[in-house]
Amino acid sequence: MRLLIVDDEAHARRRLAALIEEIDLETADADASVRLEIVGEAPDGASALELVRSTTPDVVLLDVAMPEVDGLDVARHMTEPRPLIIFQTAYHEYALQAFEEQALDFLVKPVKKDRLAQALERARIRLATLQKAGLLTADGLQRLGTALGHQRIRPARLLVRHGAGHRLLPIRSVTRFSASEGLVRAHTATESPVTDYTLGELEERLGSGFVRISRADLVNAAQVERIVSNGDGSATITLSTGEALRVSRRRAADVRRALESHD
Amino acid sequence: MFPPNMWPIVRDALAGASPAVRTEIRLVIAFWITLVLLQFWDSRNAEGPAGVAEFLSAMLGASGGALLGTAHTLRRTMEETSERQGPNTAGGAHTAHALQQVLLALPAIGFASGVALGAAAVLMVLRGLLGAELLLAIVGTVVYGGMVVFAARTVNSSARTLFDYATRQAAVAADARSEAAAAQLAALQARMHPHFLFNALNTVAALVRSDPPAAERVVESLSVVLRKTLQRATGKLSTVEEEVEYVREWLALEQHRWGNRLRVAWDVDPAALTLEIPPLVLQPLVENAVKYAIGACVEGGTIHITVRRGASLVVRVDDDGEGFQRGWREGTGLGNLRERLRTLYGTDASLDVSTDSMGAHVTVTIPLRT
Repeated sequence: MRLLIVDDEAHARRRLAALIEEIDLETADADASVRLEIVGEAPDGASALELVRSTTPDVVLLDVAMPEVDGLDVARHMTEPRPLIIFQTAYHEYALQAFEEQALDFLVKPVKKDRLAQALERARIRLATLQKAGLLTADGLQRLGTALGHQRIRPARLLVRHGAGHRLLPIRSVTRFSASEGLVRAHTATESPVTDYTLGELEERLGSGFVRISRADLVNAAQVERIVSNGDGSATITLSTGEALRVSRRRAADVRRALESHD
Repeated sequence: MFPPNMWPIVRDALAGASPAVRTEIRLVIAFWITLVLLQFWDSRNAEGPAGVAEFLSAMLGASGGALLGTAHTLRRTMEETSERQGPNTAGGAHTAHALQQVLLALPAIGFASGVALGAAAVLMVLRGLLGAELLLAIVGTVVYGGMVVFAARTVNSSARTLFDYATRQAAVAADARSEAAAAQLAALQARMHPHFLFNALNTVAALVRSDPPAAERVVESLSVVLRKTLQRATGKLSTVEEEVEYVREWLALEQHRWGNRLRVAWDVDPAALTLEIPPLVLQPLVENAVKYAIGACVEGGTIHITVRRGASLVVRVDDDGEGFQRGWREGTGLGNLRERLRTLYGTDASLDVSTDSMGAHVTVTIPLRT
């Protein structure tokens, strides 16, 4: 079984690797066909996604609380073939039972060796019976984060698609996000890469620095040059890039209020 | 009559008196001057025992009247001042103390004036019995008798004012105590949050086989932080030196979690080390910076901690993160701290946050005390 360890703390990765080695030696005595192999260790979410793509592990031991791109983001952005996920979290053991159905497992930190062995055994059975990891929806991850008591810090950068994988785009450089033909794009002065987040998720994650002006647009409040009424209840926003965007009638009042509170 | 520190508050109270009270004060002064002039006009050709009684009565009446006038004026203006200010507001403890002293002096002044006026009235009666100018003696007795009654009322109402003031002050003090206690408790609970303990234990579990000496140091730091946190439950003021020490240990624990992503630069003015500071002022600022500046970025960042002694004690934490977002709302950490500073120092302390292209800056200013 091929394993990938993801944790931002170097000591924690080393300890997990040592525990896995011990478990491997103990179980190998009983059944030599079950070997545990660590194919990689990642110190952050973005490199975890890279390693998932390049090493195609069977199981990822994934820390939830990591800076910038956290464990939930990694789960959200993993591409096929998706590995099984064993989340590691600092607490809230009992809140997580509801999610075990989704072929997820949870380890409470500091990880106990017995519990780790049990989780790895369960993963082995799932893989042997060809159970696939349930696809984690944005909504499911949201509920999971709440159950974990996980607090998201507004990140400095955001995952956007890059070739077959992802890269990080500084949020400061984004003038607006747009949704069209099923794709959400982050627009900067020079490019407009696709992101896997929905506008609703971005609105929630980025907080008040970004303002939703219509069903299709979320603009960076700092980039708004002016807002002019169209006379029919809607309005037109001009960004510092010169782009003019329509503010929907339904949102015009809220947008004005949000932009005013920024000045 | 008053210790010198009471004069400013009396002066301010008189300057701030309402038009009605000012008119009253003018009337009292006019009445007193008339009384004194009448007495001396009356005693211009007094002779014998009746003359002595008349002269003594005039002296006692004049001084008793002056005391009564003072007591009345003070009472009216102080009532207004204490209602306007309340005991524990912006003026601070110093003003409240002076106000209290003035209020305490009132019944004594009122009583003294009552005694003087009573004696003056008795002497008037005596003078009447001795047969000099019977009509004037009767008028004088009635006037002094009336003033004695007025003095008694002044004593009574200033005692009531004092009682009201004390009740109000006790209520405000109880409020402040419970607010401060609640804020202190909330701050402590935040520090003792299970997450913090789990993180530390997690670090120990991870280090204990790969780097036992480091694991030992983590356990030491953890016990220092826990002990100091518990000591803080007493709510006593701490010193800058103790707080800096506390935050160093706390950061030592965080350092293991974040590794080289967390960089800290200290700049502590040695002259500030002995100054008084409430516990848990510096630590929430640093924790905030770690959480939002280091936690938002994989590369981490640098936190600058500056402590300066100038006209006030200034504690400043700067980070190079993304800063406070537009339309940002204060979280419980900083909100709690703001509340505690307000209950402890009123408007003399401040908590300011700002963001520029460098990052976020949080500054706490506290009055100097050693």
